[in-house]
Amino acid sequence: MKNASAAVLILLMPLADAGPSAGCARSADANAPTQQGENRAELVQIRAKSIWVGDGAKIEDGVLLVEGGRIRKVGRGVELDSRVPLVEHYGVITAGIVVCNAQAGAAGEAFDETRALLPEARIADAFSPEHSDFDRAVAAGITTLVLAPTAENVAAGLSAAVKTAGGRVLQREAHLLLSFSNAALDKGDAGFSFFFGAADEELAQGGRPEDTESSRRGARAPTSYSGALAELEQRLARPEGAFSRIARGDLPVILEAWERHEVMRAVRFATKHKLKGALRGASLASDPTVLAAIQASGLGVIVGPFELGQPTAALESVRALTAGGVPTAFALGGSEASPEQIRLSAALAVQAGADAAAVWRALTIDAARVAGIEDRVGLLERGRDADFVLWSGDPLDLRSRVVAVYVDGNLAHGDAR
Amino acid sequence: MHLSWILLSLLGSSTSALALQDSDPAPDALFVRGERVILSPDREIAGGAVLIQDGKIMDVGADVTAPLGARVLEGKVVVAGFIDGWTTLGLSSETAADQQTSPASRTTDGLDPWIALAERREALAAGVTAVRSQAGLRAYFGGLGVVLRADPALFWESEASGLLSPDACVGASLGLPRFGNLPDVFERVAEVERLAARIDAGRRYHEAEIEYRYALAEWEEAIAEKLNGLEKDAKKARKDREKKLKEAEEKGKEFKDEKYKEDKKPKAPRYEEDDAVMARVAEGEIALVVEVHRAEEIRNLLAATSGFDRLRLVLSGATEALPFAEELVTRGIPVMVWPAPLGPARPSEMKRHDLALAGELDRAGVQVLIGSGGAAQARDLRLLAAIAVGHGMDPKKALEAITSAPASVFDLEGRIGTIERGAEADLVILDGDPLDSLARIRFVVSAGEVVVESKE
Repeated sequence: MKNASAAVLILLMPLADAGPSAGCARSADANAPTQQGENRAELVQIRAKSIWVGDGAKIEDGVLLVEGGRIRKVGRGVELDSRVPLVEHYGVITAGIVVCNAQAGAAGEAFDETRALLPEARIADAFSPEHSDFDRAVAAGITTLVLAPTAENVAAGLSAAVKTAGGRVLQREAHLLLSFSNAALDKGDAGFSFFFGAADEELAQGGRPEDTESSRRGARAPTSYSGALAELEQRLARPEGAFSRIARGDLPVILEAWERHEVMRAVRFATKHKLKGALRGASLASDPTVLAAIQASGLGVIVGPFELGQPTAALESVRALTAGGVPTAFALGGSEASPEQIRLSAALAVQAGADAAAVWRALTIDAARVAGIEDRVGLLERGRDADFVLWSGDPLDLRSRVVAVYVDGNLAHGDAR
Repeated sequence: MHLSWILLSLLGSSTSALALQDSDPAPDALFVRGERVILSPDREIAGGAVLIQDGKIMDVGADVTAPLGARVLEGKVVVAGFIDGWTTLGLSSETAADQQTSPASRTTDGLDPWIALAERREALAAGVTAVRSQAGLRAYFGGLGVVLRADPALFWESEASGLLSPDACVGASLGLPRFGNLPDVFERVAEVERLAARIDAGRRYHEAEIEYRYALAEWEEAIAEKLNGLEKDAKKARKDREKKLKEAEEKGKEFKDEKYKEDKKPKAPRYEEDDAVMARVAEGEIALVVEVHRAEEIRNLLAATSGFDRLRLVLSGATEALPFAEELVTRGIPVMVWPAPLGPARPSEMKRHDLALAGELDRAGVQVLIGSGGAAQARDLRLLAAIAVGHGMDPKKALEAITSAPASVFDLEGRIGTIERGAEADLVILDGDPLDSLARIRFVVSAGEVVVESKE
C-alpha cells in the first residue's frame, strides 16, 4: 500500500517529540485511516464458544487471530500462533456495534443556532475524542460512531465516522445532513431545544432550558417546510461545495424526517435529485405507503434510539424496514440517550416482532453500509479492522454482558484473560 | 389419580368434590403444560403442569393430568405473571402527575377503566398481569396505591375482579421537583422531617384510638357496675330521691340529681382521614413506598424512621442507596429499582443513576424489586429485569424482583407472583427463559382466561 510508508512517517514524528501517548492514537488525519493499526505488529488470538461473522454465519469453537490492528484469520481449526498467549472466551464474539447518528464528545458542537444552513461544517473538526461519552460507548460494545449534527439546522453539516477508542476518524465527511423535520424550522420556538452537556440543572428545574436568547432574536429563516425546501432546491440548482457532491452522488445524505408528511417530502426530494443515503427517523415506516416510498427511493433508514415505553408503531417500523429490504441502522441521539440504549432499542425491536438476525445486522454491517464504511468494519472477516466485542452470551439478550472490547486490535475495555 | 387432588377436592372447593376423575369432563378447565414450570424463583419442576379452574390454580405438579375437555396449552416455560410495582396504569396523566394528593387520597377514586387501554393490553401481552398503580406518583404524598390487574376487561366486569388490592400501600416521595421547582437542600431536609412527623401523627392517632377504646371499655364496665348496684337498691334509691325531691320542693329549693363520675363518657379522638391512614402505615398494616434518590435524603429518612418499629418502609428509585445496604438489610427495607439506561442529561436527583444498583443491593442482601416507573413502560418490565441481570444481578433474584417480591411487599403473597395451589391463575407461557429478551411470549393467562395468544 502506498499510504503505508507515509503513515509511518506521520506516526514517527509525534512519537519522537511528544512520547508514545501523544499523537498516534488521537490523530484525526482521515487520509491515513489505518496508520495506527498497520504499524502495530501486535498479535491477539482468541478462541470463543461462538464467533459471529456478522453475515449470519456463526463459527462454533472458532479462533480469531488479529495482527496489526486487522483481522488476519477467523475460523475453525485456525492454526494457533505459538508466540502469543491464547485467550479463551466462553461466550460470543461479534464485530463491534456501529451506531449511526450520535453526538458523543461533540455535544455543544452538534448544532449551530445562528444559521440554518451550514453545509460545510464538519463535526470531525469539533468532537473531543477524550470525552467520557466515548468510554461509555466502548463499555456498551460500540466501536464505531457516526457523529452527526442534529436536525436543528436545515443543512446541518457533515457527519464523521469515528472509532470510539483512540478517536481515529474513519470517514471525515461521511454524509451531508439535511433536515426535513420541523425541528429545523422557526428557531424562535424553544420547543425543540435539545439538552446538551451540563443541562442537568435546567432539566431539574422542571423541563427544558430557557431559550431566552433565541426568543429575543426571533425566528430564524426558513420558518416553514416550503421555505426550507425552496432553500434546498436553490442550493442544488447551483451546486457548490457539499451540495455539488451530493448532487453528483459522491457524498451520501442523511435526511432527518419523522412525521409521515416529512418522510414523504424527503423521499420525493431524494428521488428527484437522485440522492444516496438514509433517512433519519421515519418512525411510521410500518405504514405500507411510507414503506413503499422508502423502498422505491433506495434510501436506508436510521431508527431509534428507542426508550422504555416507546410506542409500538415505532418499534414495528424496524420489522417492516428490515423485512422490506431497506438498509436499517440504529441511532443513539444526543446526551439524553445512553449508549446502553442501543441494545435496549434492538431488544425492543425484536420484542415487537423484528427478526433478531436482521436487527443484529442493523447494529453492525448494515450500519456500516449506511455510514459508507462497510469495507472496514461491521464484519469479522480477514483484512477488516479488528473491532470486536467479547460478550457473555447472545448480545441481543440484555442479560448478556460486555466482557471485553477491542478496537483496532487493542483492548479498549474490560479484561481478557 | 393424584392424591392431593382428591384431598383438595374433598376440602370443598366449588368443583364437584370426589367426582372429578381423570375421565371426568371439565370443559371450562385450563391445563397448562410446560417443559419448565417455575413455581417460584427458586423452585421449579421439569415437565410439569398447572390445572386451572374458576380463575384459580387448582393443582400443579409433575403428575397432574388433564381433565377431559379441558383446554390444553403447551409451552417451554411456564411462570407466574409478572408484577410491576411502580406504574400509573389506569390513571389519567393528570391524576398520575397530581402534586396535591395527601396520604388519604385514594388511587381507586382516580381509576379510569377507559384510560390507557392500549398500554394495558401491551403490558398484558408482555406478561405483566398485575401492577401497582399510584396516583400522585411523584407528589410529596401520593396516597393509597392500588394493585390492579393489567387486563382492562376484568375491570369492566366488576371492580372486585379487576382490583387485587384497593389499599396496597401509601406512596410518597422526597427531594423531587415540586410544582416544577426543585427543592433546595433545606427544603429537602424539612420534607424528611415532615414525613417523619406525619408518621408520628399517625402513631399518636393510633394510640389515641387505642386509649379511647380502653377508656370506653372501662367506662362501659363502670356504668354497668353502677347500674347493677342501682338496680339492687332501686327501691331505696327511689324512695331517697323522692324524699329529697319533696324536701327541696318544701324548702323551695332547686332539686339536683346526684352526679356520678361514670357519667363522663370518654370522647373519641377527632377523625382525621390523613392521620387515620398514617396510623395504618405506622402500625405496618400497609407499606409506605417512598421514592427517594439522594444519599442525604435516604440517610435522613432512615434516621427519622428508625423509631417506628412497625413501619414497613419501601424505598423506590433509591439511586444512592448502596451505602445504606447494611441498615436496609437489618431493618428489612426492600428497594424498588429502576434499571433503565439514562443519558448524561438526566434529572439531578438521578445524577448517580447506575444500572448495576439492583445487582449490588441484591448481593448486599437487600430485597430488590424492579419497577418500570410509568404507564407504557410497564410493557418493558421483563427487559428491565434482563438489564439488571446484564449488570450483575442474579437471574433468580431478578425474576423474584418482578414476581414474588412485589407480591409480598403489597401483601398479595400466595395470591399472585407464584404458581401454587389456590393462587390466582395468572401465568405466562414463553418459548425461552422468562428474562431472555429474545424469548417470545406464547400465551398469557390472566384470572384463568387465555388473554394473549401469539400468532406465530
